Amino acid sequence: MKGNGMLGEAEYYHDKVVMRLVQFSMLWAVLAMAVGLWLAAEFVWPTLDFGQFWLSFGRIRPVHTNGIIFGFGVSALMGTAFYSVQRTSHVPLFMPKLAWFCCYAWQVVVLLGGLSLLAGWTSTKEYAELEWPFDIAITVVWVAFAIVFFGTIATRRIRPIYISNWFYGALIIVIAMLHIVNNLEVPVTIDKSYSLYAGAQDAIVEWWYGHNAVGFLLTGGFLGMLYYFLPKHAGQPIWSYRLSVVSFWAFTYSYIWAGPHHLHYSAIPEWVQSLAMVMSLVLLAPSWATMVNGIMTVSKAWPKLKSDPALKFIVLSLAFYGLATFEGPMLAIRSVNAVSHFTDWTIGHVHSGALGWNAMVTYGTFYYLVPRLVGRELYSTRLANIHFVLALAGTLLYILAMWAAGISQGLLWLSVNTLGELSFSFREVMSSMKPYYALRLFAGAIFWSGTLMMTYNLWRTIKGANVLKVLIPPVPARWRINKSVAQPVGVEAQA
Amino acid sequence: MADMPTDFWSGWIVGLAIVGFAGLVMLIFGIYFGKQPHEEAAEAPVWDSDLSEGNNPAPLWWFWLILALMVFCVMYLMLYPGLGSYAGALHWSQQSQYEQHHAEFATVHDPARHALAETPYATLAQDTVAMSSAARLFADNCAACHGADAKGQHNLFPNLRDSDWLWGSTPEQITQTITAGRNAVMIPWLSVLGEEKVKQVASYVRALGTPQADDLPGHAVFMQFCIACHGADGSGNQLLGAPRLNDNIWLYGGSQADVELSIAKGRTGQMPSFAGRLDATDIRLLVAWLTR
Repeated sequence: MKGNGMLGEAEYYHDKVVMRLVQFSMLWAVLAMAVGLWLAAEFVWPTLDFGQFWLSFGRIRPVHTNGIIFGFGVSALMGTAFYSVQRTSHVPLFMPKLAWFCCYAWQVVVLLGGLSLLAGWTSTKEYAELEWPFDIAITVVWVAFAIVFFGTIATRRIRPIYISNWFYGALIIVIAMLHIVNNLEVPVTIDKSYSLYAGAQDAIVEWWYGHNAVGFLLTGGFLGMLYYFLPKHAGQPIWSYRLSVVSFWAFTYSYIWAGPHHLHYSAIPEWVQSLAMVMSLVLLAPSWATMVNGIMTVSKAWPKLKSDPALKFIVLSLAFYGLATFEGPMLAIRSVNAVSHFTDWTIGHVHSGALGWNAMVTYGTFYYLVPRLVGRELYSTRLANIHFVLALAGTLLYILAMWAAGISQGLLWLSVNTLGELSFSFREVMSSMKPYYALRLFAGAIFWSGTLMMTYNLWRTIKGANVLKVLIPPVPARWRINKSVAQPVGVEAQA
Repeated sequence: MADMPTDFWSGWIVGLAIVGFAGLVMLIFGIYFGKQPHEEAAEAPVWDSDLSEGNNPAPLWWFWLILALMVFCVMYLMLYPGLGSYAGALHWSQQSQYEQHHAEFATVHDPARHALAETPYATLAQDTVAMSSAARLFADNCAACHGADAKGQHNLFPNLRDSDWLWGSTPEQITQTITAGRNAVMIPWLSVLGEEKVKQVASYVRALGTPQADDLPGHAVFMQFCIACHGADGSGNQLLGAPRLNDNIWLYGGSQADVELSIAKGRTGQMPSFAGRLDATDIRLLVAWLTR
């Protein structure tokens, strides 16, 4: 009884669903990155589609992006959200069966959605290519995700809501809003629908969605992951509460305006472009606030950084986060965008975020999380350290190749001779890209081999083991919600 | 501004932007100068046994960073269109920038381009800058159909490197072809002639130019139905784009089967007009390159 006033029954966290989501996330990472490799290879050997429609660039490109964002990314976000929201609320998951529904229904959507893309179903909206039956299915699963997450928050036993939950919450609310508004469409047949919007309006809605999917899913959601797992792993408090607050609100406010910077010098009104550019610039500040907050949080745990691959991945992801969030605002500037738009620079920018930030923070989190879920040591720290080097090298080479390709394209396309004629034909510029594309393929292969290595490492770690049952610790009296409510027993134990 | 139907919507945008910015400023001042939530608390909350938030002040350089960014943004919105229907002090627009670029282009390049109009084709063909420009123009505008080497594509688009020009090979004729485009129509003859006669004409046309040709049964059919466009001796008509048949160049193939197909089902050829994409100087460069 240990003087704990009222003592309730022993309660455990629901961690099996977390483990399953982590497994699915790794599966999608391996598959969707393999598709990415194939795409990179098609740039070097264009006949690699063997004349098959389903292998053509136009069909497998959305399979790669949807597989990474929705398969790898969302599975990881759901899993880590379920893991951290219970622990920061000191309650088990709200409606755990609904959490299992989220887990499996989501995988079905990603799998069938990917097949439908191969079959040529597409709404043609970038990152929202899935047709209307999938749009509805995504909405259903997403609402279930929201019920589990916010239900857990609502039944929490500790009064303050931890910062990671603010980010996960923003992810769930904003993605629901974006997904529904952008996919308002009139179904015609099972595989075809028409958007409610047309022309410039359609473009604005699409990029409002597209950029905020980057903002609230690939940035906000993964920041939630960072804010829980980084301090937890470093064993240090988040460095500054104030920076967390300013980064959350300034980030949330500015991001929602920034989408139309994808439409500079287009048929949309100039004021929309200008406000998007201005808000994109402001975004630099909250992004760097987060980066500083994260790096200062680890600063008292530097010795751990030498030996711990999980922490190395998370810290490196912060560096790439800082890089990508500096590059983004620069690319949003009108005059820079005039050179960078439609070039491979954009692809490089996306991958410095996707490989350097999203994948690395997830890898670090999984290396931390998976051994703890089964109560074992990681199968091989050495393999994880090799993976770290491969991931770093792959990301750097990828970005370098695409920077070189993109800036060359931008400048060569704009180059004019004394007669005022373009200096180079599109074909000449295109064929000069071959070495960069080959380097990109090589870089992607390195990165992917690291991911395979990690999958093997995690598989060996969990092989034959059961997910631990973890008891929920009590909340310090000072922060407890409704002190009359029974508190669980405060010991962690293996069941 | 055309995209702003009423002042209400303009005011809405201005209001949202300003309120948002003011909110950001208040947030930042609150972070640096305000009272912090757990300053009054004896201890910071602890989640999950060991998770807590420190109370370090935000670094000063960050204050200057966001201040500088926001000052830049406010200035930008004063100078450029952004706040609803306010056009900005510089009166910049995409259209004005486009026009300005055109004017600059004209100042820098027009003298050289005007000089081209006076330069004879033969001289242009010796000018390396002019010819490399023309090659680039061809690669971007023509190569998709006529091939990177200008040798055309079998059964679809004519070879431009041989001596046979469907619509004429003088600079004036080629200029006309590029500028206005061409439409060539060979009508289908199967229903008129029947299969037997189609075969006979095909054999005759393939033999054209040899002494035995006139003895073939297709000769009479040709004289009745084909000479209007292709001429009595099969040398074609450049005014109609009717190809010369008495040489060994066949756009749609020279085998018996190919020629029968051309006669039976007809053929249509279309060269689009490039007047909207290329100006007179571009076309002159291309003509010089094609006739070099």
